[in-house]
Amino acid sequence: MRYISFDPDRCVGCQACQLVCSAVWQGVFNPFKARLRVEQKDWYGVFEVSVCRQHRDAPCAEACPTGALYADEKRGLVAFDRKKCDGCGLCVEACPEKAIFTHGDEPWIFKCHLCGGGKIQQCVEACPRQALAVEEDMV
Amino acid sequence: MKGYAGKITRVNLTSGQVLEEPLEEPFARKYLGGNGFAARGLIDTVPPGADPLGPDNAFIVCAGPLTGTLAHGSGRAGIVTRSPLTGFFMDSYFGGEFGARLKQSGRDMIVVTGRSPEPVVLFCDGDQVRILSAGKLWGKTTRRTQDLLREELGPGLSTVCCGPAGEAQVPLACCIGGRRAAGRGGTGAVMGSKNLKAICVRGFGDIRVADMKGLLRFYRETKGRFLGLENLVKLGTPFLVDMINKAGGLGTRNWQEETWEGAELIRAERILQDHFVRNWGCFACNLGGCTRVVRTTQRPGVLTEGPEYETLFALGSNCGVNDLNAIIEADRLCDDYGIDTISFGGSVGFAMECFEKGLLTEKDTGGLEFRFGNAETLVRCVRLVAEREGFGDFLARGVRAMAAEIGGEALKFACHIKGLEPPGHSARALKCMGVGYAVSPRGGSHHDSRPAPEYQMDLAQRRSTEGKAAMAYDTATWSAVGDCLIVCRFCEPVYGGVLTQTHADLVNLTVGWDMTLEELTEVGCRVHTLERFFNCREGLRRRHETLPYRFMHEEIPSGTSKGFRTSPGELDRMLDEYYELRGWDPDGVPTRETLDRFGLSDLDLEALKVG
Repeated sequence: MRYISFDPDRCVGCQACQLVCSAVWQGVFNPFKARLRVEQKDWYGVFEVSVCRQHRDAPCAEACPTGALYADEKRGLVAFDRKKCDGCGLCVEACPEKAIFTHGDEPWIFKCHLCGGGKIQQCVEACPRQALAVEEDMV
Repeated sequence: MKGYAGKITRVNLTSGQVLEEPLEEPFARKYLGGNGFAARGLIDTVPPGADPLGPDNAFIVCAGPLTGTLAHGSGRAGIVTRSPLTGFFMDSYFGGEFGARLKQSGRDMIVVTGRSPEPVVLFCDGDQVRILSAGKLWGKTTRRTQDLLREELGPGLSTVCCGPAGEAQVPLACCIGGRRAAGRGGTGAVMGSKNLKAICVRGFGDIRVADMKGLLRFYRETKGRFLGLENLVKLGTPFLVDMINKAGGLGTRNWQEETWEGAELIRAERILQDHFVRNWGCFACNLGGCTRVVRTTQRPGVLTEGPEYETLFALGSNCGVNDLNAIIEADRLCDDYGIDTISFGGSVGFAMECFEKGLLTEKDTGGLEFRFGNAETLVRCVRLVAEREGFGDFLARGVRAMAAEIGGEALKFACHIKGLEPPGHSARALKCMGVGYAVSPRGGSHHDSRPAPEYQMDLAQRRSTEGKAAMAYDTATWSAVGDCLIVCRFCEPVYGGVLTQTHADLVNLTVGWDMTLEELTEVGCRVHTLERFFNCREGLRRRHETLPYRFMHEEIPSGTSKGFRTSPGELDRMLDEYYELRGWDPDGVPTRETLDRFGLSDLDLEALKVG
């Protein structure tokens, strides 16, 4: 599986990744509707990212009672089928990366899908510091 | 109308009344946002002659149409008020993410008037506006205040607050949002005077734009324009220390000189080598972040964000202090107590010269030795100023008030413009900056007219006054629009250092208008004229638009710009040119025709007669 990797030493917290994610996939600017989060826990500390690790044995898919989340071997990612989602939120709890998000405006979840599994990942492209990259997991 | 949040919130702290009104499109198109909204708001809200520290003054927080989007450098917010330091119009901006969160909470601007009987926090939580008691926050540092608020009110909070200096109504007090300062002109004192400890915003709303596809294309195509600014990312603004020192314009020991032998010790490379912890960027900074978190070399050491170039000048060269540990510590203390480092350094530098010339003695200073280079005095003074303790109470008044009290010789080296201590850009080595300071609505600020173009010039060009008033005019119009959009000045490579069609394109893609460069330029002139009118109403005339005696009569004694000064005659000629370009009369007052031309016919020139 491929996933978005993060280099905390490069990130400066500009949130361009979140902005471009919400812009491309939701059509609005709203970092809280992005499929990843970058946050700083301490005043002068490093930034940390929360983004889907695309685990093949995805705990979120296991927790999902409707089959809306599933490992998509062909595209190499954990896919989300919005039509099947009933908004129960069990996946949010199950995710070890805390990388599944909700927003009061929408009944379903926000989770990284590697921009559909295509060649270009918008957040990676937008990052002015090359803090984000796509990596391949051989396991 | 896209781009904007669409609402203006008005709060009267005396009565506790909250009014929320929709943002009307004609108003938005005429005044654009940020600075423009707030300048109009200030003129309409604050009665002439209102005490800056009284309940009638307004404290305005504002965002622009691009704020909250991915537009390069749009993560800033503005604070606008009548300054207790100058008595005139003041707008000061700060980075971070407050502006974006203000917009996401559904507001473009918050106008606070009145005075609360008790310390309060104004909390704009989505649709709700609440006024909360700030009892236990009073007296706390800006950092502690924000920590406590986050603990109490929960995540997703963005805060701007004043520190102990603001509470004590020190005219050098600033506002702090996150770790960023809206430094200039005593905005923190205005907060304190209203018993307003903090404004918190929280919101998760969308920022909608007119043409998302077009904008995303714009961002992609312009991203590469930051190439060439690698120094700014690697070293931050401190790279200017070396550059400006070599140009012979680094104010040293209260501007007695403009080349400093100590510059080597505080230059950017040293900070990088001995103090650097990590880079940091504002919301939507597509440059990659120009700020650095640094640490003193003792362990565990003091952390701070910065010090930026202006702080290295003000606390460093201007006070003759070449000890980076002391500068870092004083910078952090200024942030914690909520003090503007530029005005603080200006005031300490001035006091040091008074002390060395025998105009102040240890009896006056409470035993503190105010000699140039005394790092210990510099660090100790921060708290004294914030708490107005002992000699700190005198320092806290700023250069103009101190000089007026000392009198005599001190007036000749009192470096301020309209009461505001200048930043580290020379009014002697840069003539555009000279006239720019003189006509700046803020006074000693490099954010109306800009110093940048002159640093590129050779000595002969720099010495000449030819075209400098026009340059001051162009850059001030540009910065007025930049402050309406509230975009970072370092985005010059993307948008241009003067107004360009790119600015207009970006507004159009975001809001959905068909603005031309001409219309945008008109907005800049209109807003600048509004600020002017506000100041004229408070008595500003040509006689106030002068430079410190030192800058006009004493030549720079050494260095690259040796022999430079901006003489009264030169300044007079540049003022004439500037007023003519602006359509103001020879006394600096906008004419009826000018007001009409910029759609400001409702402004009453009769009201200026008393001035």
